[in-house]
Amino acid sequence: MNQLFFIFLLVLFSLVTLSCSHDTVVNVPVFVGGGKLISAQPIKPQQLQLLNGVYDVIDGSDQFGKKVVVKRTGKTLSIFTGKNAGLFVFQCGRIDSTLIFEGYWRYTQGGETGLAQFEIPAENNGKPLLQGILPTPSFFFQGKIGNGSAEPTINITLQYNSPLKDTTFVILAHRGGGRNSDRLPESENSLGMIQLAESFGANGIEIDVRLTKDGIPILFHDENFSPRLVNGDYCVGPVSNYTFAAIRTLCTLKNKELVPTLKEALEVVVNKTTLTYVWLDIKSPEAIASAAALQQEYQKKAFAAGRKLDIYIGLSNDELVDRYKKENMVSSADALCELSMEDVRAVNAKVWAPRWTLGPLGSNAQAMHSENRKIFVWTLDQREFILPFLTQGNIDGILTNYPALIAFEYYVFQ
Amino acid sequence: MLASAQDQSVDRTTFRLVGEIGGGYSYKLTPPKIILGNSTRDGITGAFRLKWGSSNLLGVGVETGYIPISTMAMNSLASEFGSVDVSASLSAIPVLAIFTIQRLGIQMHTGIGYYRMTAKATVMGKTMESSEWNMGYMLSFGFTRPLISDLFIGTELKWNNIVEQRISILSLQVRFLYFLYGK
Amino acid sequence: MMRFVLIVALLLSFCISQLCSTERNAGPYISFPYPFQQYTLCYSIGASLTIFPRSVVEEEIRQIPMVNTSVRYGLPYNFSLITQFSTVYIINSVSAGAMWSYPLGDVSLALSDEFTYWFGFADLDGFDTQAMGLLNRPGISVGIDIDDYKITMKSEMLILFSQHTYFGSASVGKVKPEIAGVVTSAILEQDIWKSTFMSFALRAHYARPNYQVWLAFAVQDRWLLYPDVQISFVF
Repeated sequence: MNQLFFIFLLVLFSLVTLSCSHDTVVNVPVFVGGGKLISAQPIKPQQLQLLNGVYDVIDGSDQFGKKVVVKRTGKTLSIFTGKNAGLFVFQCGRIDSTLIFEGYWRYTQGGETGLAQFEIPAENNGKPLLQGILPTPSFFFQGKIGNGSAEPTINITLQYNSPLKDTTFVILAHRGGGRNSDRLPESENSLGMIQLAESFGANGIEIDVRLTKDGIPILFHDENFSPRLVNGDYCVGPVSNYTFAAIRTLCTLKNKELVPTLKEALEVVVNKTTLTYVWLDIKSPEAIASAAALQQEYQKKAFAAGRKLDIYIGLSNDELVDRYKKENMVSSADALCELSMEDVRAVNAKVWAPRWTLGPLGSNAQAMHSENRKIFVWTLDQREFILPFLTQGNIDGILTNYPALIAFEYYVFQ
Repeated sequence: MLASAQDQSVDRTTFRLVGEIGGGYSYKLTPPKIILGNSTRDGITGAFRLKWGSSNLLGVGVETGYIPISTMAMNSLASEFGSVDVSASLSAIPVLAIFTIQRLGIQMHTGIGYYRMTAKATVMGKTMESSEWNMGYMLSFGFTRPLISDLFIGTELKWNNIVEQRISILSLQVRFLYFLYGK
Repeated sequence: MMRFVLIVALLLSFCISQLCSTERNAGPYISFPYPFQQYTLCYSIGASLTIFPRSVVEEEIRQIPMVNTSVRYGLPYNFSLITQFSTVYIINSVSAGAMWSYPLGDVSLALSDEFTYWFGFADLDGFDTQAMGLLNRPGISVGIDIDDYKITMKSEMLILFSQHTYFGSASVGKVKPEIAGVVTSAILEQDIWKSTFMSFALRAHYARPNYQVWLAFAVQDRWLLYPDVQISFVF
């Protein structure tokens, strides 16, 4: 009897330990019926831009810390908080001279989220803002938040503190905007994620490029298919074993999007965003030629559309560097090199991208800058690791899974 | 007391090497996330084990075999590439370290190891095959009865869980056991 | 969370149910909570494999193997000293602590507490990093001697006291006690062949990404469930 009970326990114990934790997506809450914005007029981007600044948190500091950064991000207005890499993303509109902001708040490290609704009444700075008058320290930006889909009832009050300084600092969003493990509403390396990157605080993205069996460059991080990235029982093993048609037919990304091609991704970057940097993280030497061809095509398209856009071929290992040199791309396709400074010089890379785990760069940074090269450090996600790099002040950008956190730390630090 | 207890333990303990071969019906428990055309989730499965131990102790061993997981086929699927014919299949070969306990005639096996997953697909006339090792587990309950001499026959209900692919298969098997060493 | 509650419930029910008497096997044991003879020593050497969730390690090395050795030394009044050492170079840990046992017929209970100092090095391409930390692991064990083998169920809490990371010329540290997780183990110790004794352990970690994956620099605060298997020879 004892033995049977032991067997029963062992079985139950095994069953309990057998399953893995799954990453369920935390969806963006939406206002029932579309909220007040459904009947609002658009606000001009230059009017929204006037709200940019560092604000003190008068009500809501328990949830969002003592300071936040407000910034126009494309057509949206975002607020970046230091706590749990939190952010707000607002769609904006006006009803007469009252400015309406509706959207959501979210901890990007953690996943808690809820509805958010702010207003600037006409008689209380609404009209001056629409007339192009900058906010003053007496300006209060107020609203309410809720938890999940619950109606917003918790007061949040922000008081304008100081403007954001002009900056060319580059905040690159990893995998197009974020990882699947952060349970964002779009899959990593998807077209939807690329369109979210700016509202998360990024002005650039890093995307991963691989070739299918028939030579089509697609966005995909891992070498092999797995339930981490795709749905589809018959997508197993190396991505390079499958043709493009097979991948698009047999599997989807985790949030049911199609696996995008590099061409589709660059099309979205140029036509649907105002991102200024794209880092193509090339995963195999065979992909360099086709990636470089698309790089040149889309940089020309961006230029023709009056857009500033720098696209870099990312070289992360010796094999890629050798192929890049062999294809004679040194003078034709801008590169970003993750290896040593000697390798950077050998391929005349425009950007040196050292891993943050090598520590602050010291005189190496000065050497690279004196050669007119930029420096992007990767992949920084934690405040305590970010601050030493910001303190030294000798880098041009950071690649991160949490652009909201970098945006907050950078603008508040300055 | 302790010495006599150890003596009694030695009396009960008889180490054996046992070879086991089995086959039966398997069924994939987890439904497909993408459903295209006609699909199957069952098939004929087989297993082979080599085990070491005594019936009063935890035994150890290795297991391998073949598990058909699923198939699908669809003609004239409407897609961005036009009308396409698609077919695919998925199978696994387990290579597991197993542990076994026997009480009151019931044998429990549990195992941990890897499954060699193989997918074959034909899309738009192009055939591709792809394989990968994925970690997983196994748990089974069964019983055996003597047949002749050192040969036993038994049945088993087995659960294979290929954790890294989130695929579970249940199978019912008939098996034959033979003592290769020890009686 | 429900899985953790189930594990604790199983542990308690196991403890309550085992009240009958069986004779005791005299083989060596490391984990079994029956008191050790005073001033006697037992040790084990083996290997463990911890399997981390993909959300933490992605396509990097998901299974962390380590070589382990444990020593138990009997003291008066049912106390034992316990030490453990595990290594795989990029992650190493040294533990020391004590266990107090209370026999109840063929069932034994024990309370234990260990301090674990862990440290790791990464001086590969792109890394000039080291990390170290201090953990405390209070635990409770229940064991039963079943005829020819010993089964132990053990539950430990992981309390993280401090953690420091050094990267290049910079360093960051945290000195703030916090509960980082719970580990529940099922351990079987028995003879495998002519008085060669082995220990088989299956552990369920319900914890934030642990020191074994310090190199992943995971920021997720969620507790994740992941297993660990250990096999050792016991002498």
